[in-house]
Order: sequence, then structure tokens, then C-alpha cells
Amino acid sequence: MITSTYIPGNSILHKADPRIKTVVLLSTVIFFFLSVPVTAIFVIFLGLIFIGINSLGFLKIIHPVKMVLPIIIFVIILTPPFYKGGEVILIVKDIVILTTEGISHTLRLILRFTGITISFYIFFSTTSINYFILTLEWFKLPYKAALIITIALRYIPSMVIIYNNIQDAHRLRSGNNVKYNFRNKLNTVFPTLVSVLIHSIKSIPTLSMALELRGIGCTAKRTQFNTIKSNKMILQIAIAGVTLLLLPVSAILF
Amino acid sequence: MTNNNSNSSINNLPAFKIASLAILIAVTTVFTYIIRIPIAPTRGYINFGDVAIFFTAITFGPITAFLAGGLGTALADLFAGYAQWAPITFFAHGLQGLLIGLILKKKINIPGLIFSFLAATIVMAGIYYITAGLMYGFGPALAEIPGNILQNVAGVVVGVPLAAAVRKAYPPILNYKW
Repeated sequence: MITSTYIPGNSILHKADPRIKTVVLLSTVIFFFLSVPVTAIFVIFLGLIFIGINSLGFLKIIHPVKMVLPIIIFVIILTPPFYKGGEVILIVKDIVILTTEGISHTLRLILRFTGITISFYIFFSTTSINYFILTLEWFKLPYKAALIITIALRYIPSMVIIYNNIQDAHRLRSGNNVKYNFRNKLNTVFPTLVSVLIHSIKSIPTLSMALELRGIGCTAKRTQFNTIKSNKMILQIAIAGVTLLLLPVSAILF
Repeated sequence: MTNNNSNSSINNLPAFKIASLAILIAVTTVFTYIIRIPIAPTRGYINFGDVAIFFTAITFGPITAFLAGGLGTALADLFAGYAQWAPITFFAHGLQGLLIGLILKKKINIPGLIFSFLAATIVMAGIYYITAGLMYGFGPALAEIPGNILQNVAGVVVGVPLAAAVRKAYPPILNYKW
């Protein structure tokens, strides 16, 4: 199981401060929902593609697009017939199928969804999960919440191994001649799930004792080994955010 | 099946709450991302994320279900390459867990299960429908509703017996609710 989406690299985005990237990501998502001309959205979309190819390479940036392709096909088929405004392009048996308004709206939806998908993909491919959690902490996420996510991330790979081991043990008991249809699969999975859950839940008291021993639950402020340094980042974040939010305004004025 | 509130003090410790949440988030992530049962006619599959949410809501209560259900499924989205859905998933599945936990807090019976299933389905599928509609149109977003309902059906059909089986096999779990 993949428990990290980070793709190591040496690009500008890899080196950029995760706090700035977070603000830029949010600004980009907001931008895609604004009522701006499709051309403005297209320009930003192309910019995203360029940044993505520059940071991760062409093949990597195609990956998220392939994943959302079925939804894009749905949008292309289902959106245009609902928009009757603008110039009529295609009529079938007196029913308007395609208009310029339909094309424009379909393009807007495709660019919006694909743009948001690519933005998130670029962000999590160039930002490690640990830095992302530190960023959330910097944005005032409580320490305990960050700790919970960190422990969960550490525990997930172990749990996958436990699940596979228990599943193998149950398979050994059921024999090799089982036909894997839906019912058999469910019958096989159920005892495995019970065992996995009991095994996981049994580890809660041990883990809580370990946390107690490390002083979790004490009221004194905790120090941290890993932190993000606060130089002049607030100013840089503000500049990055305002720049991105100014883009749609300039597009409207233009 | 009734819920017994424990007199034990272990579940009031901050460390216990952190540990149980972390483990249950991991459980939900693995159930969502790893455990998938294929459905032959459609060539699709159902994941067991909702099973984990039903289990957590019944066994650990509404708040744990909200946090573990929301964060666990959001992490699964992140690792599966659907990071854009992660914030929405957190609220959709978090509220789903919260509702199930609140409805089944006092007693678990057939009307309660039906009501919790309906409420959870409406909220979860509704949040996904509205956000998907805003992102890529309300027409195409309709295509996601049957899948979300099926997920919840799997949740209630497998999750409730699973909670009962785990309680029977490991009775100390009754003291873990907080």
C-alpha cells in the first residue's frame, strides 16, 4: 500500500515553502469556482500544466487526468444538451443538442474539475505528508490532532501487513478450491475483518500507555524536534495569495 | 444488542483517546483502500470504508466515528490519488459516522438501524452530490449516487454484524467507548 504521495525531486516547487504552497493551492481552488471568462480559466490551467510538467514531468502530470477521464466523458455527454443559449450548432429531430453556451459551460466544468485535480496532485506530489502536517500545525491545527494523524500514518503499513497475514492464515484453513464469487469472498473476508479489528483494538491500551510515558496529556507546552522556521513567510504567503486572487480580477478587467 | 457505558476511567485519558483515534483512522483507511469486493455485473467494486464507519459508530460512539470516519476515508482518498476529494470526504463520511453514532447511541435495534442508514445515506450522498455538482455539473454528478448508496448498504449489512462479532469475541471493547 502506498502511504505517501510524495515524488522526490529538486524542482522549485519541491523547494518551495509548504505554507506558501498551501495558500496558493487554496487560492487556485477558489479561482476555479469564480465566475470569470473561460479564457482566463484556460490560461491558469495551462500555467498549472506547465508548472506540473516542469516539476514532475509530462508522464506524471498525465496520471491524474487519466484517473478523472471517465467523469470528463460524463461531463462532455451530459452537460451540453442542458444549455440552449447562444448560437445553435447541432439539432437532432428538433431537439437542440449543442450550442455555443453549452460548449462554453462544458469547457468551464472540465477545466475546473481537471484544474482542481491537477492542483492537488502537484501539491501532494511535491510536499511530503510530514511537512504537510507541520504546515497544518503552523496554521494552528492542535498538536494532539497532528499527533493522531502522524500515529495513524505510521500504523497504516503495519496494519496492511497484519491484514495480509491474517488473510493468508484464513485462506490456509479454507482450502484452495474455493470459487471467488461475491458471496464466497464476503464469507472469507468477514472472519478476517473480525481478527484484524480485534488485533488492532488490542493495541490501543499499549499505545496509550506508550503515549502516557511520553507525557501526552500533560498540560505543559511541548517542544518539537521537527518544525518549519518562520522567517518572513507570512509576507511571502500574503503576496502569493493576493497575486493569485488578483488574476481573476485582472482577467475580468481585461 | 445494547450499548453498555463503561465505568472504567481508562477511556477518559487523553492518551487513550489519541491512541484509539489513531488506530481507528488507520483501520478506516485500510478498510477503504485495501479491502475491496468486486461486483461482477458492473465490473466495479465496493470498498469497506463504510463498514469501518458503522463499526466505529456502534462500538466507540459518535465523536470517534466523526473523526475516525472522516480522517480515515480522507487519507484513503489521498493515497488513492483522489486528493481533491479528501476535504469533502472528511465532512461527508465524518457526518455519516456522527449521525450513525448519535442515532444508535442508546440502543441498537432494527428501526434505529434503518433510520441511521437512511440519515447517513442522505447526508453522505447529498454532500458528495452537491460538491460534485458544483465541480463538474449536477447532471454528471447524479451518476455517483447509486455507488454511494451501495457503499452504505454494505456498511450496514457488514458493519453491524461485524461490531456484534467483535464484541462477542473481545468483550473488553465494551469499556473502550468515550
